[in-house]
Amino acid sequence: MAILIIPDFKVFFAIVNKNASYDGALEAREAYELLVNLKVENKVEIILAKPIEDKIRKHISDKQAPHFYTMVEKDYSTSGVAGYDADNCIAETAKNNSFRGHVIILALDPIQKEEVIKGSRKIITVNPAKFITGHKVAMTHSQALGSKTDLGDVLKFLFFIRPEIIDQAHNSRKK
Amino acid sequence: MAIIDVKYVKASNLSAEEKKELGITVPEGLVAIQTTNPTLKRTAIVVDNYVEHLLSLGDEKSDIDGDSDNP
Repeated sequence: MAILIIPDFKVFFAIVNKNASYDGALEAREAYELLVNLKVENKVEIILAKPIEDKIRKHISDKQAPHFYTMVEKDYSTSGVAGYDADNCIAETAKNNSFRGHVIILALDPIQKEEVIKGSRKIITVNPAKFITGHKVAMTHSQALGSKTDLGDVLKFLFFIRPEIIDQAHNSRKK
Repeated sequence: MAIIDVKYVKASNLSAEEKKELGITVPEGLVAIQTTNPTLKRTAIVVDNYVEHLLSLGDEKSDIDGDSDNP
């Protein structure tokens, strides 16, 4: 089963607007590139929550649109529901998708309404920099284990079962 | 001619016939297969970096319209 990735608005904005220059924008682009490569090999699904789509749509040019939308799967579970917008729909979207598989929220901003996913073993939140580290660690392990090892399984194992391995690698990179 | 569909695949996952039809000569890497209206002709481009490619297709106008470039 594929891993479901839910990027927040800032991650999407960084990949459609070259002038995005806030903290984490470069990492967001690098992480999204990794996601795209995982996506074309059916190892992840990239979820675009409808309230985020409503906000990002006006920043996407006509030329970008078919290239952007082909990579994402729209999620309507918080669409039209009172109280949800692009800034606070992520936790609920993650909860609704956790029935389909493991969910990684890829976010630059703190997650609002986080209480709805507290305690879930199938949902984690990482920032793009940590996702990049996790992917590097997974690649190393996957190559060491041999060609028949599925990178998606290794990613799932590391992020959900042994996150301390990624934390350790991430902290040593930062030093 | 407008692009009505784009599909990204790995060049290594294309069959020899598809590579020939699309004019793809690289063995690996990301390939964007575009279908254009009204002919429904399929064309392909090799994309080294998806995000860079997407950014390059961005609307220049949005860069200067002052519409919150950095949220």
